[in-house]
Amino acid sequence: MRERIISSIGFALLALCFVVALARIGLKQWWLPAVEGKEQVTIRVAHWQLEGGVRDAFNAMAEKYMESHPHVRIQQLPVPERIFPNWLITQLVGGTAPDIIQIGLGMTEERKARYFLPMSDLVDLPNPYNAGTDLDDVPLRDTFFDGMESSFSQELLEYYGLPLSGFTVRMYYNLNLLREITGGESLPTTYEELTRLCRQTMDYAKRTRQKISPIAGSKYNAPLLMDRLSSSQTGDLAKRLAYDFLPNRPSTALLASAFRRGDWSLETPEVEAAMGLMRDLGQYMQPGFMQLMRDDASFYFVQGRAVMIASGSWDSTSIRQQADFPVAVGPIPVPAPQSDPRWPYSQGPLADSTVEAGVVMAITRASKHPEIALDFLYFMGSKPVNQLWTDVSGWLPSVVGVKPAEQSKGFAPFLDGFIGGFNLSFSGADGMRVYRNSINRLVSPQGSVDDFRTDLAKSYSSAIAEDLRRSSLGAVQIAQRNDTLLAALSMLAASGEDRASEKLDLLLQSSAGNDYGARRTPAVWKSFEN
Amino acid sequence: MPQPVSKRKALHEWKLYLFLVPALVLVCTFSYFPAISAIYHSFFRWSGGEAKEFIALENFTRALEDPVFWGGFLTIGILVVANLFKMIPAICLAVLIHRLRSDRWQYWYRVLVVLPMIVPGLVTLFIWKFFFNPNLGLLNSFLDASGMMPVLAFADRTLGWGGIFQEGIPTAWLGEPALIIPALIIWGFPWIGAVGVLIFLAGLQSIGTEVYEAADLDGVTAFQKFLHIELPLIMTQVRLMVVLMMIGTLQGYGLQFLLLGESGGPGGAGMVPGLWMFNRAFFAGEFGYACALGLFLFVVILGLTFINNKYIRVDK
Repeated sequence: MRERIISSIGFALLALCFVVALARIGLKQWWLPAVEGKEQVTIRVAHWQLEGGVRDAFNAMAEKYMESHPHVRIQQLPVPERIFPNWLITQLVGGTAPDIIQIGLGMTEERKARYFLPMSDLVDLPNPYNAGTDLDDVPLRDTFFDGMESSFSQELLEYYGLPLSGFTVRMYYNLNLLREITGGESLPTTYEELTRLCRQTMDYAKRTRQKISPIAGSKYNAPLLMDRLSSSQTGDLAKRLAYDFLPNRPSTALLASAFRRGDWSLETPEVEAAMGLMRDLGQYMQPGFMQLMRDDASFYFVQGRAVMIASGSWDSTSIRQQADFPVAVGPIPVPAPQSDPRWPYSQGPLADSTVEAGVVMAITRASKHPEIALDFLYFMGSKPVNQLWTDVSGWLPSVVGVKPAEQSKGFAPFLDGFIGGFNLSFSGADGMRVYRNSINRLVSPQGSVDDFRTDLAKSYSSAIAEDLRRSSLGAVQIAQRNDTLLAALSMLAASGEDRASEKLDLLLQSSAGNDYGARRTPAVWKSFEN
Repeated sequence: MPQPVSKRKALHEWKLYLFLVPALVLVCTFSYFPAISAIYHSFFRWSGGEAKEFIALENFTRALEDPVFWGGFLTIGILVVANLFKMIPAICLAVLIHRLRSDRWQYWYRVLVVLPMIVPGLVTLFIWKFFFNPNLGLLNSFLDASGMMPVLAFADRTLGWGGIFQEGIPTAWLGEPALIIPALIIWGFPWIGAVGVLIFLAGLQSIGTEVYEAADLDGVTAFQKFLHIELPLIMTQVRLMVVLMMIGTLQGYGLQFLLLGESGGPGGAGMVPGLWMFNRAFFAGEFGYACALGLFLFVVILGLTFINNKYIRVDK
């Protein structure tokens, strides 16, 4: 008998755990306070921002919303950045996507068109949650500092989602190390001062036999710095290529086509100077940084093993929470004009004017309650709630007139300066892949610009053509799908059906971008033959 | 030999066949349906979801000319050969445990071998990724502390390895194309897989004691026993492990994905066919093409398993 009891303890424990887990999930998923006359609804919101403070900010917004909407439960789904693209596509394709998803990682125009609800017909109407503020009656689009450019799809000519935050990229400094190495706390303001600090750090590390690097790099952080620097050399080139009149910079498709046509190449002097600049700074990061992930670089920096790290305002709270030394934040210095013959295309300090808002949250077509999802989206994008978001997360606001939190003041965008150009990783999945496969030839101690260029040239052009082909085919598919709808709406409009003409106009507008992409296809096929 | 059963007798208690239905439904849903769906979608230009375009054999002809896909098989070939050698420690450990005279100690060694199995594979991979960290990792620290780094640097200078090992500069094991394959081989040191050890042990335990007694009478040494008795008598298990290892190496890409990322690391040196299939599906959004690549992979694995079963015979 005793033996039987002992042998069944394990099973009983397992069964108990199962029942407790089931009950917990059941309570979370299905139990909602009863509200008379209203359906109980759960809205799921997914994002990849696992940085310090952000989940708290989402929770704070959700709790505030649920106070005034007791029949609604807002459920936050934070998904790690590393797996977000795979998770996203699985959810979208499987039809199990949450109601609201952050747009960005793993997103393509085709996926936007297919799986997300456009908001174009709402952007000229005011946000109801701004009532009683100075943004009362202001069109939704004008309540965001970027005019909702971050939500706008150039190819689909539609708005998708609302942004919650603004972002800038800065250099973080370990003030203790800076003081020890330079004897002061002044931050470099020019590229020359930056490289001088790097050399001083290397001398200091050698002298004191400490393992300290000037800059903590990783395959995530290094491009933030290098892209900024390389864009200081390609600004003029980008302007020459930007004849599709898109704001600030040429589109990906245009850059890719121009490359295939030979309007620019890896031999173009501006591009060569950009590569040289990347190599110059790459020498000051810890060896093998391109094999490291974002967390590795942050860990390296907060452990006091590097004087600097380049990252965005989104890492501010996390870095300050983890570092046991004072942290200062400054702009990324780029070469001044005529300061060095190696970088002749420098125009001067770069502005953050091209910066767009981020954390764009959009409603999926899979949502069973799109009207409630939209209401929560309005709520998050309103001025009072964006203030709450900023205060709790420490991130920059996206709504006009919201005051930045104390810790994010160093991240205010610089508006005076030149607009940067493009970098070599501009293309899609294949362009990025071959670029990443070759970058070690540029930044490793035994590498060189020529070595990198030779290696990249082997497959860069075909990779860009492949990306262009894929994006064009996507455009064709969307255009074909819209054609059926257009035909149906034309017939309905001709028969005098209500609102059919209006819908037809909207669809014709949004189809224009895809038609452009579809028309581009024969040219892309032709370029394959060369 | 089983006796044939008449139809009447087989259908006499037909209701019992209903017990098979749940298992059949699950197997069909989760094993056969995805496979059939992959075959179907390989004939389409499909990026997930409902919209797809029939393109007949275009995905297959494209796959035949895909240099990245076929280049991955070279990496796989190297890894398969390396994995063959990496089976040796497991065989040796199984023999050592088998020869322990104390049953109690045998039991505890088996427990010790199995214990790491409770650590999730992903955790092991992350730990190994940290070992390879150029600045904080165990591997470089060991090479520095043991004085092997100067030796490697000297060999690099003498043999012209291109400066991958330099004194005072941490080696980027996953950041140098030339070091990626060695890193993938070093991974898992000392290469003692619990499943392998248990399978070999099972084979060894089926060897009768009279064989050992006869060998002892003939004055056979311990190594000769291993070479002439134990190894030949566990060749069935070895062949099973070789098949499983080949299938696992050909299909697998988790190791490469986690250590090197979706692009296969610098120079694409760690790109394997499985990773390329994953890359096409989840990064390029070409699900139809990825299905076609998967079918090619299936055919290759089937062919190799067939060759292995047909031509690699075990004579006992």
